[in-house]
Amino acid sequence: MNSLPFFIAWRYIKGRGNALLSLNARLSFIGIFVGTSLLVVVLSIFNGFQTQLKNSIFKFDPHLTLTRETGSGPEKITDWQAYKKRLQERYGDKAISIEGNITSPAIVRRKNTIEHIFLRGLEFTPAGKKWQIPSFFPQLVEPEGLQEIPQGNYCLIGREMAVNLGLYVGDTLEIVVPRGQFSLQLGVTPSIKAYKVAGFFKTGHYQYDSRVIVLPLQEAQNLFSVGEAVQQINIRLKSIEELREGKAIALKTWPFSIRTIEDEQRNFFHALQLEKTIMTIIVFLFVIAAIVGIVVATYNIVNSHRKDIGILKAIGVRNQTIVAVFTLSGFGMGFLGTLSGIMTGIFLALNLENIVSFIEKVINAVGRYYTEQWRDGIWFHVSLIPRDVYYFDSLPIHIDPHMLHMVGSVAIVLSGIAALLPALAASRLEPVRIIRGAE
Amino acid sequence: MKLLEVTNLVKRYRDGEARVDVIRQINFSMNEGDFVSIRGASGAGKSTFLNLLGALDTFDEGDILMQNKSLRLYAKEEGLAAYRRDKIGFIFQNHYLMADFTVLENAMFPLLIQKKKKIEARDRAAGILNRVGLGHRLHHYPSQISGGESQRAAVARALVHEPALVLADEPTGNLDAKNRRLFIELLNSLQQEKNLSILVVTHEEDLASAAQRQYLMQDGQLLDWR
Repeated sequence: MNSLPFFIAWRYIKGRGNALLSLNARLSFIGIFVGTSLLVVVLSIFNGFQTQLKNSIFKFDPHLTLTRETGSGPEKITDWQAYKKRLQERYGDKAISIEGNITSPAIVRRKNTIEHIFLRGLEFTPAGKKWQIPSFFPQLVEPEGLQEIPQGNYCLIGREMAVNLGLYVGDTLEIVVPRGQFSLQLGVTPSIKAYKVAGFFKTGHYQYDSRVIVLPLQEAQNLFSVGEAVQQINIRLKSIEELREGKAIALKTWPFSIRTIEDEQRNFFHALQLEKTIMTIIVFLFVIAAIVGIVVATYNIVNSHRKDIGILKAIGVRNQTIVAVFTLSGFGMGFLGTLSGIMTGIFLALNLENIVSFIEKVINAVGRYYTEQWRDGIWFHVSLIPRDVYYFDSLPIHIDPHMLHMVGSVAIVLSGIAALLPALAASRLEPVRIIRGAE
Repeated sequence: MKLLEVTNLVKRYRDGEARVDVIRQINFSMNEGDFVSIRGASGAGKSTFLNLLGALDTFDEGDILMQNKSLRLYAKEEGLAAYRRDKIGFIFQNHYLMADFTVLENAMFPLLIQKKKKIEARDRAAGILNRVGLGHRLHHYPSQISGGESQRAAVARALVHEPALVLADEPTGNLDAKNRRLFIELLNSLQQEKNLSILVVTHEEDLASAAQRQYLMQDGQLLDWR
């Protein structure tokens, strides 16, 4: 491979002497550097949000929901234990849990407050006079590390519901559900029962933490008066990546309706994806602007090296080599800018929490000083990411290697393509005109 | 041995309907080791003739044979860039050294273009730069050396790949009297030492008369001077 174009291009990027980069290269470098580092930070935050939301949903929601649908809606499943056994044999160690489940809308009453909620009856394992909370259940934040709840009228509620309803562990609430008995005179007969709060859970998904109450399955069956029947059979897979394969296994045993978590949450996931796509496009426009900068910088390099082009062609350099020199110049500027942009983006993303907190401190310190010196002395604390608005304990960041690869490759390839036009223009310069001083 | 043969060469510029013959039916030849000068007034066609011989420009009629091979054939087979790379060494009025490269790197270029190894190119370029008295300037940039030194560096670049023919276009045009004298001495001694074939166009008497054969270019025609 001819190393001459690399030699010349590198010098045009680097500039003469001990300079790190020539002026033209510096401007392009800054554009690409800022664009790619921003893109990495923004996408890492979006990925982090998505991952956290997906994890909270995947952890709390069953991955496969088996129901027995009829024309008038889902039917009670009385023989679910037999199906459970068959499914367990089929799945082996591919499933974390296979359990009967009741999920229904309900109303919760606490003093004068009435809230619409969702009730979930999950299979808890009996352990003496207590119920063992299943291993797949989300984190219990109060009492911390709770693993069992007493048998009887006890329930688990989301942390946000506790805050909204002013509930503490040990408090009582009433749950109202339709019992399924209907008469023309009375309408649907409700079933009402009081439960003590045994603990608070936190899924990380506000909708669940504020709207869901969990009961042991037997308690839910009593409340709904369904005997030993359940509404659905839920399967949690070991790996969510094997959802399609997991569904195929269930199909061999369950001849009725099977819905995956993706079917259930399709709109939500699509909305997340759409949000990410739009943000990616917006930030990518910045990268495009930087690429335009490369076109301009390469044109500048070509213009400031017209005499070089003339003499190189006069001493026997081919047009293809001239094209290669200037394409490599653009490519090199893009490569350096992208590489350092990605590394800086990773650094910023990993330290974003500290950076945001530092900026907050600076803003508040400056603001406080300003108001004390020149205004009324009242300064309202600025929180860049208010924890009460955004539902997370720490800023979720997920740096996806595929995303880095995609950002890097696209930016570098576009840099090369951007430099091609000025490079072709350079190759068309006539040496005799340059040497005569006509160009 | 015959190096160059030019037969009935015509170069014509068109300006709308008008046609201007700047080179008119020139017949000319050079042997290996010849030092030839062409003098003439500005606009006589000296530089155009040189550019045609160096394949920087194309002719309309006639032919140029370098070592018995037509330039038309070169253009068809290897391309004119290859002809310039292997056969020609250029020295221009302006040194045209590349500002981003050191004197040594500038002199290495013709060899790098010929895909010679970097080490070989460096050694040969350093050797010729030493020969032209620039051994102490190898790692200086063109902006850090004088005009006379720049022109000597350009001579080194023109000779480093041992071309069949050195074409020099007003090489002393930008030099003061002292540097002009030094340059002519250098060219003379190199020509004798390496048996160089040199064709120089100039309107300066002292450089023109340094050549063994001298011509006058007048209105696109080449006349014997001496």
